[in-house]
Amino acid sequence: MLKRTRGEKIFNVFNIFLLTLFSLTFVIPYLIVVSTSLSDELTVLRDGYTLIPKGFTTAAYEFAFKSSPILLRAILNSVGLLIVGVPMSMAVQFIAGYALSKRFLPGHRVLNFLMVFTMMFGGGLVPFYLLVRGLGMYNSYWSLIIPGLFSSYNLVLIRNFFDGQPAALEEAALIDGASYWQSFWRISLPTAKPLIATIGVFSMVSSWNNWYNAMLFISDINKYPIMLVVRQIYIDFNALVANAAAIQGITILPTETAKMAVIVIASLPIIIVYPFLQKYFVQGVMLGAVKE
Amino acid sequence: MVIPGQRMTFKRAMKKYWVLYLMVLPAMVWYIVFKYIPMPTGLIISMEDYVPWKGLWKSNWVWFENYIRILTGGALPKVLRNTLLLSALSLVFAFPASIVLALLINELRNRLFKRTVQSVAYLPYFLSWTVVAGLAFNLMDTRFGLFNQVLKLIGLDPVRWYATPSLWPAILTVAKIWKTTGWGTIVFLAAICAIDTGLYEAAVVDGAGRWQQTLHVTIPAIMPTIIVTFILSIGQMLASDSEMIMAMVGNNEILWETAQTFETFVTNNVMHGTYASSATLSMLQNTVTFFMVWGANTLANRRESGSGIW
Repeated sequence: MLKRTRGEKIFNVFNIFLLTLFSLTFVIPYLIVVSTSLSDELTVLRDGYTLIPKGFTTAAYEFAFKSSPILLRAILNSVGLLIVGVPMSMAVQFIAGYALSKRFLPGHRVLNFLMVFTMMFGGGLVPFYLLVRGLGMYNSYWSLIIPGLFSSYNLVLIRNFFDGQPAALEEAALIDGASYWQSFWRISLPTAKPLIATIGVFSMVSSWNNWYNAMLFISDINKYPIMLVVRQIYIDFNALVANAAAIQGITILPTETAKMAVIVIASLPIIIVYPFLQKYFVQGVMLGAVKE
Repeated sequence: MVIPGQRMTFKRAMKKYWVLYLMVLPAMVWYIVFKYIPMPTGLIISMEDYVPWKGLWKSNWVWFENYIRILTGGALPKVLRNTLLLSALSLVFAFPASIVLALLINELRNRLFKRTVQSVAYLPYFLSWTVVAGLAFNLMDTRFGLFNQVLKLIGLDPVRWYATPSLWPAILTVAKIWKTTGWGTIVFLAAICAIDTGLYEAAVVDGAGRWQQTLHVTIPAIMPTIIVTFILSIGQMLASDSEMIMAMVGNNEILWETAQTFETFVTNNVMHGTYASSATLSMLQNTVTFFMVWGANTLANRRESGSGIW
């Protein structure tokens, strides 16, 4: 190791201090929310939000689940959308990406251009919105799956991956009379496991986090995905829980703490899987950075 | 196998490669329906006095009336100003933040600490904007939030964050920095990793300290990455982060004064059932954006071949 000068030592200390501070700004807002969700409502109303739970209680969570059937329903909706939507989208994208990577395919340039062009130009929200409604998907779960089935960005990644494979890999199988489908399924796809993992993980996260299309297309509160409930809770908390609370005879609504509890519930799955999946996330960016 | 250069008839290609065409068919159907049909439809609606119950074919054709109304009307200057201000703030603050953070992380010698900082910094990127909006609601709560608690502690008056539109360009920029800076470092850290260590050794032999190494080796080496990223984000000037704004501002009309951008204006109009003017605004925005992205990409490719999006 090189000898360190005094200036470098000072810089090191300063750098560590600065980055610790920086990391804390990422963590603290979330910790406050977790802490508030575990605090007693009346204490929160008196003292404000704190970093450490005051008057520790899980009442907010119980209230959130018990008095709002919406929450449980929304979690199930989101899980269902993920289980149906992500494999569907992965399948069609990998199949199409494989075919698009075949440079000898007549028309392949046109097909690729049509796909990439949509990354630059679109018709805008209005015709898209009217189209989805016109297809009868308004207020249907399909409005959260079908319109987002393909992403040009993913398709480009997949196409480039298969394009980078040596032709010799498939040649033997094709000469032996395998169809392109068999060759794709048995030979090319198994080599794409890292890419499948990366795109799969990204798709799952974005499926779980999605609320924008639901805001546009879902009006039935029973069909809300979890992230739309998170949004609505700030806009109209009472509509979501008040009725249920009245039935149970609860007089003081744990409004503040329950809001925080919902945020924690919605984001916890991501926080839990994040450490295990981090390498796939980083891989995804690297794949995107190395184009063509 | 096909002999290169030989053109195939459509019929023969179909016969030989029907499996591949079949594989690409779902994608083509989807692209036509969800990407290509909306293009002419959007153009038609933008030239109509569109009424939902009359539909696309029976609504009255008004030629460029919508365009003239929007270009001369009162809403455009405000929306344009908000959009450009947010983009400018993002370019000036959010963009360099990633580079600075990457350089600082690169200087860390303790591997465990380095990895922890990276993990923590990437995390916000994976939280939904609605969750981030929830954290913001918490921090900026007038009575209980951390911000006002701190202001109180140092003897200042509490701020009503959600009733003060003038603060929101800054708030939205900070939120964007908070959510995306860490993630943005990955590209730059990768570029730094790719630097030939020999360059540093040579710099040390020449007597360069760490600061000089950063200044004369690291930064010049990642300059192409910086320039390309910068050019590409200029192409997106008119595209604001509408998910961020819709989540953080929501239905708070007071804040629209400074937070209403092209995209949120269109989204809000669609949700209120006002189609014609938002279709027109989208058309204007998309056309301008198209040429900006196109130009930016050409620039990026010229600067360093193959570094554009296509």
